[in-house]
Amino acid sequence: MNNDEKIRKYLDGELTGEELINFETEINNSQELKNLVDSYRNTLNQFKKIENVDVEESYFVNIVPRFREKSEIKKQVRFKPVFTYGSISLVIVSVLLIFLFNKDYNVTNGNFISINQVSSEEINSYFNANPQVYDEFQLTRNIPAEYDSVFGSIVLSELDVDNNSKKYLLGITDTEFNNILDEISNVDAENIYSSLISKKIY
Amino acid sequence: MTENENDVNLIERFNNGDESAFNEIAKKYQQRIYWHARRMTGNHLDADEIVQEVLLVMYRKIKTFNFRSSLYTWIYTITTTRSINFIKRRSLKQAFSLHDVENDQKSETDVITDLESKEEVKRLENFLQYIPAKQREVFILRAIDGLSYKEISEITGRSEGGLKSNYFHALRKLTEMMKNE
Repeated sequence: MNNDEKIRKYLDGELTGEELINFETEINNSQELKNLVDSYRNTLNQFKKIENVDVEESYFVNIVPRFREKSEIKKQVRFKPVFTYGSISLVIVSVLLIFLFNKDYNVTNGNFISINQVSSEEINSYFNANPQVYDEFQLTRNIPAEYDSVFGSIVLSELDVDNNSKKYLLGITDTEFNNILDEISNVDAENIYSSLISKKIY
Repeated sequence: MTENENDVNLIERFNNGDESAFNEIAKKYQQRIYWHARRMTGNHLDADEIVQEVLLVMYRKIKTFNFRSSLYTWIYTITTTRSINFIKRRSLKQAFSLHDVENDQKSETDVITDLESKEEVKRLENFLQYIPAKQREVFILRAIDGLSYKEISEITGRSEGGLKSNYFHALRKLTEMMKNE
């Protein structure tokens, strides 16, 4: 047992019998040890003195009433955070739902129509009924033969364009289309093709 | 009726809907809660805040009190935990604070009536603030509140060996500070 442990035990009253007698003998034989033990004891006595200090009577009398008052106020305002969090959650859910619906549906004249609901028969009958609208062949006939199938597929199948956009695309005249193609170099065309096939377009 | 039996009776009354039983429990232990919090924090205003926090926790959790320990051990556990948490929060606040106005106000506000006692308490509380919170906690519970290491171990959940070591370290540091005062 080291000296610190002996001093602590001695001050805590844990030394008994022979241990106690031996340590008291040590203290009596060493002024340094005696001073050390006395200084520790003095510290403890000072702190023991502040165990009971008089305070304003009203303070302890009012602790419970103040607690009751505070807890009543808390009960009254507890509704507010619930309402706030509820409103925020509602807004977030609404925004998410709108976002999810917008992903699958296109807006035409204010009505929601799923692009998946339009069959190829309906598309064909639309083109047949509207001969003034350019068909798939007309749209892609000036594109080199090896790109025809790819562009046709991109324009009419892979791109989920709405009817207005489709009308715009199909409404481009031969001359306009040729002008656009004339301005595109072979390198540019390759680049456009490469970027188009590597891009997922919604 | 022993103190423990009395506590059991009060808790049963409160659990059966008698709100006044809680007031009695609070009045019985409020001084111990206050003084422990005050010695831990070193000032009246922080201690007062902790007292209110502890009462709120007691009020909400007393239904779950399982009588495995005595009520005062349970209350001390809440008080020590709340005090340590409060000190951590305060240290963080102080680290980011540019002004010390709040601390000035805290040192001015007190409920101790006797001027001499007030100065002495302030002096000793100030020394306590210089030792680590965990050592301070053990020192207060042992040297001032007079609890046994077994009781302190139940309250803090730490081993008796570790507590004895913490206690002696605290005592040595405080003694050295007082010598150099």
